[in-house]
Amino acid sequence: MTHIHPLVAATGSTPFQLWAIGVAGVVVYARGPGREAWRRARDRRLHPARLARFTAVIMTVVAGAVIVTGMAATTKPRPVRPRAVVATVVDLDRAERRASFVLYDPVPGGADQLSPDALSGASY
Amino acid sequence: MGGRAQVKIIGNPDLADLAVQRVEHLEALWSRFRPDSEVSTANQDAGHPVAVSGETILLASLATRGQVLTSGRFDPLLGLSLAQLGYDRTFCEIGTSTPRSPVDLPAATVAALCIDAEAGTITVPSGHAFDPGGIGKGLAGDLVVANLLEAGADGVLVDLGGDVRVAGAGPTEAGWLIAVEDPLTEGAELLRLHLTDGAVASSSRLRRRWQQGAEERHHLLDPDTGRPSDNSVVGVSVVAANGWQAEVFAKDALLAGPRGAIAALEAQDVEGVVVLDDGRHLRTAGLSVLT
Repeated sequence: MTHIHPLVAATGSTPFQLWAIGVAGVVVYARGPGREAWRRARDRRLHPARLARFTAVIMTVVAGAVIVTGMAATTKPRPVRPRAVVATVVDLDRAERRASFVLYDPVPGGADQLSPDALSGASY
Repeated sequence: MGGRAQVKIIGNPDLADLAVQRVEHLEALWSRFRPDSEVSTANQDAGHPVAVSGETILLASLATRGQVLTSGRFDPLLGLSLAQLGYDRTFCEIGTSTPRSPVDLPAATVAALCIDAEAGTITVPSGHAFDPGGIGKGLAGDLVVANLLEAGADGVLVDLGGDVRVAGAGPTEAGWLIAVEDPLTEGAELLRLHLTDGAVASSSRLRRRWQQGAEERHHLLDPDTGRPSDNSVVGVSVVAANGWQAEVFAKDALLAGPRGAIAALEAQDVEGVVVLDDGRHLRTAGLSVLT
């Protein structure tokens, strides 16, 4: 036979107290905002307002994709505009005369944009 | 002058004929492959004064000036060494002929042309030969541009085998657009610039190569040895006020080697880009501001 110490032995009021606490917890849980949000999220039936918002988002995404794709297909590449600086070199024979030139950044594809008047290369 | 030539004229297009005449005239005076040219005559009669035209007096004077300015690194009297190395005919003829056997080269000696402007003569020192080579192309560009401007052209571009000289009005307000070729990669460019009045010349030891016996030769000779240069500089392009200066200083930088090339260009107050055999580019300050 199990012996229960009198200090921890159940009294006649304990079951009622446990039930009261349990019911209070269920009420608080059921009325809490988190629970409500969870319930709405789990609700597979689409409310008209939600359906409208969902449709608007989809349409916005599709319209954006169409615009971006269309721009990529129709926009011409921007002309290459190399950076440039002006520099000078001195004529040894006439110190007052300087040859000035504008130096351009090497730009990939630049040859397609500006055709040079001459090509300096070593043939000799 | 051993290459293609193009002339672009702003203004009177009829001046194109004059341009062709002037280029052919200078070629006839200065080619060392034409036995009747003034340069060939002076070489054949080395050690004696030979009467020449004013253009050849100017060429000899500027060649000597270039020799002085570069402390002898630009040497216009290496024509004999070039011939002994196999470059004794036009480059087209070298390509179709039997490879020559190696020869013992004479030791390089310091010498200079003797010029008597009043008498209108030049004297090539004995045992040497005057090779106008690159400076001839550069100066020809300078002279043809000047002639066409005097004849009424508004602007001129002369391109003689890759040596470009421009002056006067250009096709745009910015001037003439010149691209500089990368000697290591065919079709690639090192840089571009708009030039209003000046010259761009390029020199490379990767061009004009030929076989002599088992050895491959090129035309850029080191005056200290009389042999083709063998440092790691493979090409130099120079922007200068005149074509002859650009040519002289390109050769100077090429022979100065990788450590001295930029210093050589900056000492002459010109701008340039030096290409090394490992693909690296060295630039003077004026050409490196955008890199």
